[in-house]
Amino acid sequence: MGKVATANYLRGGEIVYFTASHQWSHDLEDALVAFDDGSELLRSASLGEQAQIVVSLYLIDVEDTKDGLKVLSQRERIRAMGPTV
Amino acid sequence: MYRYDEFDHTLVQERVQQFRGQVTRRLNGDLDEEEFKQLRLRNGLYLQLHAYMLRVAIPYGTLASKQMRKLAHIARKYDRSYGHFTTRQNIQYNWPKLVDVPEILSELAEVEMHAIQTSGNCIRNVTADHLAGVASGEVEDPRVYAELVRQWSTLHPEISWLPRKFKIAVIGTEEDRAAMRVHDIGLRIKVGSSGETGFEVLAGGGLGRTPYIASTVKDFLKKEHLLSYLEAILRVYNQLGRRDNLYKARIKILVDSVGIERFRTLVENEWEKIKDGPLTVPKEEFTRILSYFAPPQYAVTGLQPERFELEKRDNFDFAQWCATNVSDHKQAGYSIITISLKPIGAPPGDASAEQMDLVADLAERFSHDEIRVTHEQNLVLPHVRTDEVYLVWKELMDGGLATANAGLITDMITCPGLDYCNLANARSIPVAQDIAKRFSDIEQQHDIGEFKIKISGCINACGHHHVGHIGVLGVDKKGEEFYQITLGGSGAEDASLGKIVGRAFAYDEVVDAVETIVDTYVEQRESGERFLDTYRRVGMKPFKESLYGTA
Repeated sequence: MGKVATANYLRGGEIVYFTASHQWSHDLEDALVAFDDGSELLRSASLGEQAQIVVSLYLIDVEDTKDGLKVLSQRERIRAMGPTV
Repeated sequence: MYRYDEFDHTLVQERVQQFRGQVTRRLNGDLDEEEFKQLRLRNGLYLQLHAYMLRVAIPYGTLASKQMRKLAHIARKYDRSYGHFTTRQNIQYNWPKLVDVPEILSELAEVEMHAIQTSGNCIRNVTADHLAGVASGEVEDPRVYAELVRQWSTLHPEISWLPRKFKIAVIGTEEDRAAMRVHDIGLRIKVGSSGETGFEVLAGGGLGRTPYIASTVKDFLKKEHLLSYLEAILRVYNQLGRRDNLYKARIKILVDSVGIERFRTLVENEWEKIKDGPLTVPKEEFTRILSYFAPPQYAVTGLQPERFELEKRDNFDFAQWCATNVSDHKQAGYSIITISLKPIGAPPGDASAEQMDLVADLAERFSHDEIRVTHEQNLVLPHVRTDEVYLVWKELMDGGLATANAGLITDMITCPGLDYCNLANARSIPVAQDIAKRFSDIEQQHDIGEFKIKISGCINACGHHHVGHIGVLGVDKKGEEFYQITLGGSGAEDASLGKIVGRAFAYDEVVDAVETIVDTYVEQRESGERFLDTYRRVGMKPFKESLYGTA
C-alpha cells in the first residue's frame, strides 16, 4: 500500500494529484506514490499550496495493482472517477 | 413580488465588489485558505468533493421568470448546464470555478439575486410555504414576514456570528408544507382570540445528529413585535448557545438542556428590555411589503374550467398527472401546478438549463411571471388558469418535466450525498434512483398513495431522513456504505421523528428493504390509510418482522 497526495486546483477547484515531476495532474495514474508514511511527499506537495496552485491538500491510500493505481476508499474512488450518477 | 429597494441594491453591489477583491487577494496569496474560507462561506461558496459549490439564495423560494432565466444562463455559461434545487428553496451549482464566481455574483445582482447568508453561522435563507398566497385557508401570505425577517437579519452584526447556523421557516396555514417544526425557529401565522393576526412562535426544532421537534415558545405574538421577539430569542441563544462544542451548538440543544419553560422565561426577560423599542414594526412597513406580494390580476371572465374536465376525460396520462401535480387555487378558475424534479432515474432536484428556461417561459406565459421552489425539491407554477393547464402540461411533457409523481413514493428528498458532498459517508442519489426505478409503475405509485421517502448521506440530515415516512441514512461501516432505515417520521403539521427499524442494510439491499416495508404497509393498511397512518396504528413490529424475520 502506498500514499498519494491529492488536492483541488485553487482557481478552478478541479481534483488533482501530485506527480513525480512535482507537477499536478487530473489523472490518478500520473500520481507519485510514496511507500513510507508520506510525510516527505506531503512536504513536497505543500509547495503547491504555498504557491497558490492548489488547496485542500491531503494524503490518500492507494494500492499499486497490475491494472494501475487503485484508491482504497469509496470517497476517493468517487473523487477519482467523478459522480456515480 | 418583492423588488429590491435602494438599500438592497447598494448592499449587494458592494458585496460583489468586496468579494471580487477578496478572490484577487486569495489568488495572489495575500489571503491564505484559512482566512479566505470564512469570506467565501459568507458568500455561499464551498469547496466540495470534486469542485467548488455555489449556493444561491432564493428568498422564500419565490422567483420571477427573468431570475430563473439568469439561473439557467449561469448553469450554461459557468457550470455544467444544470443546477440543483435544495431543501432551503435555494439552488446550488456543483462545478463553478473560483475565478468565475465574482462574475457569477455580478450577473446574479443584475436580477436582484445573491449568495449572501447561504452558508456560515448566521440566519440562512428564510423559507416559507411554497403555496404562500395561493393556498386555501391561509391567514396571511407568510412571505411578507419572511421578507421582513430577511431584511432584519441580513448582515445584522449581532447575529452574524452565531454559535451555529440558524434556520427560520414561516407558514400561514394549519397545514405545514415547510417543515416548520424542524426549524430553529418556526413561525405560524394565526388569528388570536381577539380576531387579530399574529404568530405562534416555535423554537428548538432541528434535524442533524440530534433531532428535535420544535416547542412553542409563545402561543400568540402580535405582528408588530415579530422582530423584537426574534431578536430576544437570538440574544438568549447567542449568550447561552454552546460555542465550545460543534455538535451541541444549535439552539435545539439549548432549548432541550434548559427546558422550554426556562427558555421561555429567558426570552421573555430579554424581550422586556427591547419590546416597544426601535424594532417595533410600523404598520406602514407591513403595508409597504404587503403591496409587493399583492395577488396578480386574475381573470374573472372568459374562464372555461369545463374544458379542463373534458381534457382530463379524453387524456388518461394528463388526468393521472393532474391527480398528483395539480391542486386547487384559492382563486376560482385557477390551479397550482407542481413541476416534479423527480423524473424516474434522474438525480432528485436537478434541473437542466433548458428545463429552467422552459419553466421561466411557461411562468411568463401562464403563471403571472411567478415560480416557486419547494423544500421538497420541486418547482411550482402558482397561478395557472385551469383552462390552460393542459397547454402547460403538453409543453412540460416535451421538456421532460411532466413526471406525475408529486407527493408519491418516487418524489423523494435526497441530499447530494457522497457523489458530491465533502461531509457525506455514503451515496444518496443512486439509492433514490434505484428506489424510483423499482416503483416506476405509476398505477402502483397511485395505489401506494402519499408517501415520503427522505434520504441523507450522513448524520447531518440534509435529506431530512428523520422526518421521512421512510428515512434512509447512509453510514460508513469499515469503508462500506450501509443504510439505516427509520419509519414513521413526518415533517408536516403532524410532525414526528422516525424510529430506527433495526440493523442497517448494505447498499444493494436498500431497495429490497424499502419494497418489503411498502408491501407490509399494503398488507396491513385499512381503507384510506396512508403509510404513516398505518404505521402509527400498527407500530414497528410487523415491519420489523417482515424485514428481519420473527426470530
